[in-house]
Amino acid sequence: MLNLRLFVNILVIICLVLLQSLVFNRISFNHVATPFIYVIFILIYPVQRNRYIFLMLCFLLGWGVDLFDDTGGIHAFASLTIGFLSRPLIRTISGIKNFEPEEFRFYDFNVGQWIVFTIAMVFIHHFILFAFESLSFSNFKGIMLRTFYCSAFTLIFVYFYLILFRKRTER
Amino acid sequence: MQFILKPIVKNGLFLFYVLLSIIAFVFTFRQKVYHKSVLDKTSTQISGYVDEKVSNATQFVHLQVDNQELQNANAELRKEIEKLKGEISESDSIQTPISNLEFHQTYRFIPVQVINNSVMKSHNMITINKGSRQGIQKGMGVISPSGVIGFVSQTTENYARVMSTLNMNTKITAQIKNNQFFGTVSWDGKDPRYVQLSEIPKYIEISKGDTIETDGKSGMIPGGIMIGTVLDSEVDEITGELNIQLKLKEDFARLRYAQVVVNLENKEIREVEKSDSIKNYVKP
Repeated sequence: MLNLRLFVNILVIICLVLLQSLVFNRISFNHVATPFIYVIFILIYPVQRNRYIFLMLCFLLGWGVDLFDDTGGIHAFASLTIGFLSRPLIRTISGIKNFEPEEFRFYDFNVGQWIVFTIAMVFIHHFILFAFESLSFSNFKGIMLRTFYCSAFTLIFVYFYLILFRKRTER
Repeated sequence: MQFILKPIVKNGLFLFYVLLSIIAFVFTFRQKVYHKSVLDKTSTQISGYVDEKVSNATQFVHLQVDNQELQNANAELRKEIEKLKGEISESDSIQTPISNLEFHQTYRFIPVQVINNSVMKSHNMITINKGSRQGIQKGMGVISPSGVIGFVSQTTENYARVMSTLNMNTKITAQIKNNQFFGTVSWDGKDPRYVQLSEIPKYIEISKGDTIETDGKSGMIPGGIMIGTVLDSEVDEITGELNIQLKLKEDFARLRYAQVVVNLENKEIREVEKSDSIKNYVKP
């Protein structure tokens, strides 16, 4: 069961990497905003599953994008970090006192909580990505602007996907 | 033993995260320092192959604009030829025959196609569809009809990576066309339409619209190629030099064709510079 699931996940990762590098990397709205749609995988990965495998998959996903983009390891680091932060974030946002990851399903979230969760995750991811890319805070305003624009663009695609292709119960 | 193992098991996830982060850091910094590493070469090969396929599929869309640009370039070149012809016929060519030594060729140009490009990162790179097999080597300059594109940073057999002008590490020596004062062109990573010219002393008079061109001292790029025009300038309070904002002539976002500059005398220039440094400084 675990092996089959792992196999399917790796297939999904390959598809996402190809989609990101062949289609979405070429979209650049006004030379500023590019959507990084591959974070969808990290956003909707079920909380109750093995975290070690999850981190490994996050790393593979980011590294795959890096390979096509020739950026070394910055996507890998950014997606790894939000993968690591996702469970604490969910715990904070859900507001459940005795939070048990095994019991939690994403449809326990209401719409507002979902929006806060996705915005927080995407924003952290993009900020790490751009800050790590320029390796200094001298151009802090520029980094923040790009983070805002790209986050907005990514979120539009994320919501498109969630609204169109996910069943109500799974959301 | 228990007290060593317990924290490790308890914080296992965090340690795993740190471990993977270290791997990611290693990938990042190795790419920036050792351009020749094996991983990068495979990476260039993979992405080069994919990008060429995509470029092949999409280039038909741009055919009309490209044709127009080629026509314009042709017209410019023809004008130049006519001008030179006139100059030769005016000069007294019978008494002073044109010697081969004076008019030998220094630069050769290899036309290439840009198959991958970015303008939004702070360290932008370009992939071109020719490599070491076609005679492209590390360090060569790349130009287009309307500007300097960058320098070749690494090559594989059939592809090469070019460090774009829009890369915060790229420095190009340039001069003001009117008075021949030279400075350095670099990019601050903010807007892909503008670059910055520095190291010009503040007593130089400069006005909006002045042309900035390459000065040809580096030997990688011939002189007299236009980079852009002056947008505005202000005195830097710290260094006392002018900070000049340039508007690029080339639109990097829609760059598709370029030429790699091969300096046929590069070897000789290097030899002469090498001998200089060894003989004069090592042996007194």
